[in-house]
Amino acid sequence: MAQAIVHGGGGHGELTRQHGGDGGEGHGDELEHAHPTSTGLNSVKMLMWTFIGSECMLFGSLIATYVADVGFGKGPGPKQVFEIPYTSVSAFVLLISSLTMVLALAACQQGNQRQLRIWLVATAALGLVFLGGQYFEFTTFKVEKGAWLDTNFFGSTFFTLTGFHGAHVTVGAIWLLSLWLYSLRKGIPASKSLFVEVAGLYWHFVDIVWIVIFTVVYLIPTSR
Amino acid sequence: MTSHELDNALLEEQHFPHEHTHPGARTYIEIAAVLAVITIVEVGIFYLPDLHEAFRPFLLPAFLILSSIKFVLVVGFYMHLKFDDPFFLRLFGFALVIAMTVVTALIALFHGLYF
Repeated sequence: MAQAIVHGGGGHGELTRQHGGDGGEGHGDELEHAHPTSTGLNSVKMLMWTFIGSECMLFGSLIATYVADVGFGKGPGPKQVFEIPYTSVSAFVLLISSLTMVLALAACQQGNQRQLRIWLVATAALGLVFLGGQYFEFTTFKVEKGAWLDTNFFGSTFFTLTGFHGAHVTVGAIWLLSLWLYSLRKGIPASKSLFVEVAGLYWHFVDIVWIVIFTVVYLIPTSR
Repeated sequence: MTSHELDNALLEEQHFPHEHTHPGARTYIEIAAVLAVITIVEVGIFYLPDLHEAFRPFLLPAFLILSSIKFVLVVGFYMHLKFDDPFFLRLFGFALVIAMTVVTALIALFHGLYF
């Protein structure tokens, strides 16, 4: 049975692959004509950057809501609740996880499977450390400082914003662990480094969101 | 071979002329060192009460500048926007401008409470 897949078009030609088969090998499985997408850009990366753009707007709205509402209502505020030295360790952990992530990508692009696995699992582990710190922070804020979602505007907006960020870190950690398991079973060759790169884009986005949150939510209100 | 496998095979073999080579591990580690130093400076001010008091009027712009530097370094080097096609930068920048406009507008409206 012959199978033909046609990609692209739009005035830039077409991408066609003939697959001859009967389920066996060596029956004319050859790439006849391959070329970049009609935009000349990698569509998987394009998808990821579009997604990241939409996420920017989501977190922009959450941060704006925090900034707008933080001063309203009674109850504990940032100065009474935050402990900058503790949070700075979490921020540092997430920054370092960005380094391990790019090292994983570099290892994948060099075809070094062992280092790829080490850096992937290290990144996921650092993400889990961050999440553990956030759980401890949330518990401390609620139990010892009396700040929670329904306490005041500060509590509502702070826990919503940082909770959403924590959920994103959780998704990222699951994604990285999945990649790690995949690399253990089948390996991720350099030709498939795009899979690691796209996961890395997501992970770095989570990191830059925390850079903004750490400054706008933690540092600025407590330094004044 | 399934159509999904064919798609993957095609994906692997495509070439994207606008993408440049990514930096190596050494550059990544150097960037991480800069990020770490900036974070230490940001947090260090809280451990030095006298310095904190002396620089209090300048802390807001200082924090914004330092975090902007960290943001640009991560986006430029770790997310490879410095090396990838400028279209990705424009795509990201457009969304970022909208997000920052929303944040700035709300800060302007409620600045008396936040600052």
